[in-house]
Amino acid sequence: MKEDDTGRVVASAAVVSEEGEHWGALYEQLRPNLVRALASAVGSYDGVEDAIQDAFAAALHGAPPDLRSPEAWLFVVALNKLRHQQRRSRLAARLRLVRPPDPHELDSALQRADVLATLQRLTQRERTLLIAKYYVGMTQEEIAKHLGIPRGTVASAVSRAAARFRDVEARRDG
Amino acid sequence: MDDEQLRRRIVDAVDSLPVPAARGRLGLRARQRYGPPLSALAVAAAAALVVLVVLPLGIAAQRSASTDSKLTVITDDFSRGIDPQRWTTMGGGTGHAVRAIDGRVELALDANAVPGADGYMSATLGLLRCVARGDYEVSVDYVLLDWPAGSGTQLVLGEFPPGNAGVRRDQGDRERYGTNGQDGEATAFTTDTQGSLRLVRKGTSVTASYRSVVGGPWVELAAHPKSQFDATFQIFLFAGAREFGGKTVRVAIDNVRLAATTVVCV
Repeated sequence: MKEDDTGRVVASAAVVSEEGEHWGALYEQLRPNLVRALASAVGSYDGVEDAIQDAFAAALHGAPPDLRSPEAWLFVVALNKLRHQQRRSRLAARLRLVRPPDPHELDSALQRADVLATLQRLTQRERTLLIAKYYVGMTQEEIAKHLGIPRGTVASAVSRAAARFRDVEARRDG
Repeated sequence: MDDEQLRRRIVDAVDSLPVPAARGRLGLRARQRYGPPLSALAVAAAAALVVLVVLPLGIAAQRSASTDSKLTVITDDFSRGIDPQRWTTMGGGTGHAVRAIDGRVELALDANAVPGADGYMSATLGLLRCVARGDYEVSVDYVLLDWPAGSGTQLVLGEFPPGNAGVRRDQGDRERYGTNGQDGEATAFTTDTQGSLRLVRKGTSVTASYRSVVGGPWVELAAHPKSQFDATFQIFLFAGAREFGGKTVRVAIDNVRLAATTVVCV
């Protein structure tokens, strides 16, 4: 009996360690694109690194077993963390509990006079849809499931965001 | 610019963004905050702590660091899933689900859900291990993920024992918020697909409210005058056999907050 118990503990620790290695390797691989995607979607680098760490923490704690795309799942979990943090920060700022944070030193890169600047002129929802679909490569089903959009309206929502992008870019160029 | 050209432009632009240096390899912060204990010793120590300290005291609620130090506050954003030490998941009938997904909790009733012997089907997340005594405020954010017309389903934040007050997002003839208590009910039509539900007890009166925007103003539905017991809370998706429309319904809930004069958890 004692041997069985010991065996199970060792096996469990080995599985956990293997899982940690797996997510550690994914972190090395996916972090740069996650940073870019999240900063583009929310319009700032502020809090992005923490949100990514929290997303990987959630993965270590127990990611869904049937993930088609770990990148998409991590993007959504980190995005939700960022939005939650932003809401709290905005409320705290409105109540004057805290001083609004200084812009992140890299935020100016998001304002360059190109596609990035066009993205920043869209609403956060529009930006998120375009980044989720075209950069992260999320399927319509994943967008519906993870971004809280009715399945039947994902295509039209993305289409409207794309139309807005083209319109803003045309006006900027014109 | 066709779809592929748009994709290419976005990918190229986003790929051109700088990436700050990492703070080392993963997961120092992640592992420190949430990493599962790897040693049996850590598990044993945690178990000993629970047995020797927490259970005898019978109080596991956290003292709030917020502005009102008189209240005890429990919050959960489900970033670590559903904590079984705090939450109880339940269901009535078959075809129901309560699961943690992406840092929130999804309550679901399948299209082929079948009611139990009592004629109801439900998917419930219960804060049953903790009791609020005295004045309290409890709230939850929600997002309607699948909410087809005619589903006959309602999302409820309820105070228990049964018969006490609840506030709900449901479908009658029109989409609406509602509240029910021992003294009747009140409703307000809405087009919200996300928002928050709240119950506030002062003395023996419970006021039911909702809000359409997180951080926005609360709208009161009604006050019920007869809340007088220690209260536990449940958040549940619910349908009666006659009302259920045979359509899959999914709702995500997040950011549960309970603040009370006294909270006792076991």
